[in-house]
Amino acid sequence: MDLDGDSPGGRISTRPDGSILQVNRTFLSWTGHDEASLTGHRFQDLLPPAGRVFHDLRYLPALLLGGVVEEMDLDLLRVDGQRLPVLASARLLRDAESQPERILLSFTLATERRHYERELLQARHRAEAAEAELRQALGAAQAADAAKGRFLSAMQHEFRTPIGLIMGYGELLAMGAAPAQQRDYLAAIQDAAGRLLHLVDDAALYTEVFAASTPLRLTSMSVGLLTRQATQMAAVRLADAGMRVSTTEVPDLSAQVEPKLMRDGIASLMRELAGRAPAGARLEIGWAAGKAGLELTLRCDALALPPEIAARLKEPLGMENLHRRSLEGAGLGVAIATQVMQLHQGSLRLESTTGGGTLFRLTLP
Amino acid sequence: MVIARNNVRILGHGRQSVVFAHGYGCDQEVWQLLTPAFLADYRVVLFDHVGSGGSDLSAYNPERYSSLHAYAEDVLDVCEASCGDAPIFIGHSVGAIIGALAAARQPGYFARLVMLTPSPCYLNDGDYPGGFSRQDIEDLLGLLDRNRLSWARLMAETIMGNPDRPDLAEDLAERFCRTDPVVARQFARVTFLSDHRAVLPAVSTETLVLQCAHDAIAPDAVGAYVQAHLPRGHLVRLKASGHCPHLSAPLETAAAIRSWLADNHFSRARA
Repeated sequence: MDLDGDSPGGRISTRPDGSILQVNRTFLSWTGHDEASLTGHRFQDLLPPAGRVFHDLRYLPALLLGGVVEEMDLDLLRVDGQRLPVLASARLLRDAESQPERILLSFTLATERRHYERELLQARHRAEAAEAELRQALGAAQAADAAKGRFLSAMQHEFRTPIGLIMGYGELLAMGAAPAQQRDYLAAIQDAAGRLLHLVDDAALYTEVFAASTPLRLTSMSVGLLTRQATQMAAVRLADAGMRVSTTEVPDLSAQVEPKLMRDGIASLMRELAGRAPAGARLEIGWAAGKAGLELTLRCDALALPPEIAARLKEPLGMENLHRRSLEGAGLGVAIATQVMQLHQGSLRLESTTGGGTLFRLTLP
Repeated sequence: MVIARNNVRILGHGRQSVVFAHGYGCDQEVWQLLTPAFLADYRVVLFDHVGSGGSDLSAYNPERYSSLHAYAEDVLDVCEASCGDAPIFIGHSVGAIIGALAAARQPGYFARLVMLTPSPCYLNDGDYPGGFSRQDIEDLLGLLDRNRLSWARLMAETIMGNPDRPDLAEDLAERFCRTDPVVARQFARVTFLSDHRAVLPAVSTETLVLQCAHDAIAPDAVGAYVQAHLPRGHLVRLKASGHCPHLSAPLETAAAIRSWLADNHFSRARA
């Protein structure tokens, strides 16, 4: 009985420089080589490039210094070029003068083990990736929260203005004023109170929009219906501002939207424009199917876009650039519409028209 | 601090200091077959790169050691703390490149540079025959990763010495080629993915490049490239094969280094 030759493990012996001396039958059958072709070749020639580096930088030093190396996870190259996963152990034998004389190597197959390891590794990578995503999402949520807080506190002055007016005129009335003046002051107070009410409504809507749960439940809605409903919602403020709404021919298109959110978003923009435009200005609404998606334009030529805002219009509006106050004074309505568009994976751009007017371009993918 | 950080050991009886810098995958123990030839005439300074051998692991941080430049700075620290003037620097593999970076950082500091099987860039790049494709390096990183646990065990285990060399049982403690597995992974990336060809022309020191036959990691063309791009480079081809002549052929290697160091005729710029 030839223990070595028939051993279930692969066995080879080499000189210290790796040149192969003896090979057992099992090794030959695994690698598909025959004895003649192997003798004289070196062990490291049976390894792929990475294995050769490992051989020289880890295997050999450990063997020459320690005498034994165990459990190396390697690939052997079969004669057909395929890789054979193995576990290898090696022992260095020295001669009478203690010089390295021979290396004995034994191998066991590791194909199944490699499979298992690969699965484990993949599972681990997936878990790590998920953890990283979660951490990122948490970071983003925290950042968004913080930004929201900053934005809201920056809006304080918007509230203070009408409150200041109310208090101011109230005081004047209390101090006694002529009937004609009284009427004027009361009108101013009513006006300011109205604006304050709008602001409060907007703030409530802003909070609602930010509390919207994602992913959105989208349904198909005709753009015509969407426009009519949004216009209706903004009707009071449009009327207050004397704003005339004209719609270019609405195409027979449908949009995938969360109906309430999208109506709120569009209405908010209309209210914003109404609040800022000169009396009697015209608001033009248009829909088109563009290459980026469905586009809604809200255009007001009479509302001059402040130059310092026009200068910052390079990117679509995002909560980031709004919250960084680079578009200070953009207003809650714009913030609401921006968030609605972001929730829909769309975009909102603020553009300057050729007359120096204002145009909002909402794009749905 | 540096002495402890880099586990610096000083041996030998000479006045001229020789610093030995190991490469990837091992520690200062790799030099033990070579250094005996230098002890009589030189002051031998051995150290471990941070993360290897007996170095202070707490000094390792992945950000700092994301480039070989950090290792080069450490080399200069080690020399400052332990060598006299004008030390000779001997580096193996990536240790040699670290030495080149140190020499470029402080021109005129080293008296001589010896590079054992250096490669400034392992990746093939156009005409430059680094020897490895990107896929090969990724395979290598995976291979090192798969084997890291057994190497970690090597660090913890007490090896009962080499039964064929009972006289070494005491000297050859259980420690050699120790590398922290986390460090090993990053150091491998830094070593095998970096390209330091550009530093070679900035190394004005007289430099000996030792090239082996059948070196799969630093092939002949790379050795020739290194010598050609050093302003004062000299190439010697050893008969030894493989990548670690200091381990597999210590006598030939020592003789080649010693005779070059003894040779003072450096009037020509190139060999």
